[in-house]
Amino acid sequence: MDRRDFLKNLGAAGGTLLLASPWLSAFADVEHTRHSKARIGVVGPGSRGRFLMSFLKNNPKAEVVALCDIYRPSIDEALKMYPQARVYTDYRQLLEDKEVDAVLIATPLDVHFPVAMAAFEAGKHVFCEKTLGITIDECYKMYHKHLDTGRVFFSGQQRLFDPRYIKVMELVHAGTFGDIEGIRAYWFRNGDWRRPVPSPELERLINWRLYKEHSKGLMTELACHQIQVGSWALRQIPNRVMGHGAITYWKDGREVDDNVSCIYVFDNGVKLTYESIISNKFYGLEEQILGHLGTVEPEKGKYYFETIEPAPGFLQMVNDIEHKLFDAIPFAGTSWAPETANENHGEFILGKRPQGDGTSQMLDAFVEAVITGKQPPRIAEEGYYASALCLLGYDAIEQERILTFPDEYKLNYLNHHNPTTA
Amino acid sequence: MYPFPHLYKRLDARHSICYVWFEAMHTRVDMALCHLPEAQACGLAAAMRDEILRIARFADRFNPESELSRLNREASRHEIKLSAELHAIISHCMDCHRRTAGAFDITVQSTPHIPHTIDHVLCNPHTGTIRFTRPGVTIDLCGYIKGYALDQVHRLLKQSPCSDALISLGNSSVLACGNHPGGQGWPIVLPGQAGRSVTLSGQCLTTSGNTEGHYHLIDPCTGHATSSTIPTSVITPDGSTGEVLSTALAVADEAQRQFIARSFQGQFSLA
Ligand SMILES: NC(=O)c1ccc[n+]([C@@H]2O[C@H](COP(=O)([O-])OP(=O)(O)OC[C@H]3O[C@@H](n4cnc5c(N)ncnc54)[C@H](O)[C@@H]3O)[C@@H](O)[C@H]2O)c1
Repeated sequence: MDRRDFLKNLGAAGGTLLLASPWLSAFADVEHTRHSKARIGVVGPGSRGRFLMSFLKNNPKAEVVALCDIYRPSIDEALKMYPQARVYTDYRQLLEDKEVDAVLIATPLDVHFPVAMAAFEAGKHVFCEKTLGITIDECYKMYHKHLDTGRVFFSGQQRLFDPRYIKVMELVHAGTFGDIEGIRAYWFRNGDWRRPVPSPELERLINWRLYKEHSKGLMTELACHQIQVGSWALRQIPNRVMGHGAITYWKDGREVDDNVSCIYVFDNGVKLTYESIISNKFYGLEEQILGHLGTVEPEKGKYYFETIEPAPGFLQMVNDIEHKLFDAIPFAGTSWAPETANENHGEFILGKRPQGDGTSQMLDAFVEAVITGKQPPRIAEEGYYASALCLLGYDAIEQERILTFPDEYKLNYLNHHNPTTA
Repeated sequence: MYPFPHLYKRLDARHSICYVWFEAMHTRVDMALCHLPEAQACGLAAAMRDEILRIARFADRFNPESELSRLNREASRHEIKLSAELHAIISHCMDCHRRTAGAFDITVQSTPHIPHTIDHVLCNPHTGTIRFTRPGVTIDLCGYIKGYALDQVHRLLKQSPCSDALISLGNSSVLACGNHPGGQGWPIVLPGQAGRSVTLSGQCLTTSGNTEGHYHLIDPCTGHATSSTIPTSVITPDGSTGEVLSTALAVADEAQRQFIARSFQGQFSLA
């Protein structure tokens, strides 16, 4: 789905889409902002930073005007995309650049907080890659700095903008799959998670993911995306978490676990289980949403119903009607043979195999918000809780204790209330 | 929460389509209800589902608890007093047997089935009772009650604010009301007719025929399953007549066809 289709579809069913995903209102002013430009400075144009830049490059309303990195090869690669960008080696200098409206932070996790706080102080809008901070306390301070300065604040939770996930949540919230009874999220890979290091003293700069001073490992790098799917589906923040983690396979001097498992418990007893192992990749990644009437697998882009599947002819008709086609409805045969319906292959959520992952739409939304200066509803809160929850899981693993979401870190959001900030 | 899965698509502020599906009467039921708020569409679908299940409960010969099963078990021993509804259904089917020159026959499942088995069913309109004058008579309403259920569902639909709907019972009995959201009537591809389609509005399309490897249509004259897999589809104002005619025409010989054409003149067209 290209950007225009995405916006068109948004218009067609705007009302319900905005209920499930209110941050999509970021696109409300697309016409008015047609001739404006968001001037963006990228801090940490490493692999993710440059991937994000490749999408900005496609958006005529965005211009990367400044780059900052402490590793020259990252700068050199980034300059290939934006040769005119001014180059800095200290993010504080970049923040003094008056021509920069917004910063995009794609540094290792431990560097997010100082850059984001200084950026808000300098009056810049902030797009910060997930996980926001390396502790819940950092995330909380970043969120409040955003509120205090009134600057736009996005985090790299691209699923929030993935048409597939948006559609899934619309269906889930409409009760299509019944009561949500559980979420099973997992990410399985088979690899050491290392990158080649040209010289030994660069180990921690390049393989920062493996060291606790820079990252919290699988929980902050992978789980952060997937736990958010659970609270989005249930429109609730889970308040308790227990877990365990260990290094079971990659005993190569790394500090972070290569095998983690957490159980997040919602107030109604529904659980989100999270599992990540990086020495077996068979099941890949998924966030299975289990309802009493059906199941959704948003990563695969498919849904399934518990009893009987929808009839292909009707489904086709309903999808065509949604896409404004008028065609004859085929009826399969004179009588339905239940024997053939046992294999449950599921149906594609958007009627076809998934494409893209929302990153491009997320950046387009950020660019719109930078130009209008308007923070779309709930996006900062979703980012905050995605980060806080994966960090709480990490803490539960480290402490081997059942942890409760700390009152002092609650926002006034969904089932959470914080009397001190109300 | 809704008792069945459904998909609700909003097309614009006033237009929507709600697709509901579930199992009933040993088959699948699919309903597309247009332009109602989601809760209302699901409420209407639930009422229609309840109605279909209610009919299935008394008229299902495979359910030993049903009123029809009791009739089949006991009517050869003594006279059975039936509910007014089941009595009326059976009387109507027997009338249709006459009007189709014997091609539509609700006793083909009897053991043995010999020509005129149906004459062993004595229907008393005054007492509301039925008696079989021979053991082994079995009344089977399987196809017919789909059409009948479609008619009852149609009645509920007419009482509701929904005027545009498409309802299918097992793909073989289809009711189309009002219009498809994209145009006039509901265009439907005819089963087994190489993509040929008809446009229906306020009508039923009923199809009878064997599916490959599954020969369930019995010729009342021979008592044997027919082997033709060419489906017969008829368009009628109501579902019951559709069931009677599609079943009868699927097994009728030329003389019976001409008889049916005369006795149901103006009440159907062949699709
Ligand atoms: N949203 C997603 O799906 C997704 C995917 C991958 C990575 N990420 C996130 O993006 C971030 C970066 O990941 P990556 O894979 O690109 O890492 P990377 O190591 O490839 O890039 C990080 C860059 O930051 C630079 N850097 C380090 N310290 C710096 C400092 N003090 N000032 C300026 N630059 C500094 C590094 O030199 C490097 O160029 C992480 O937070 C990661 O979690 C998000």
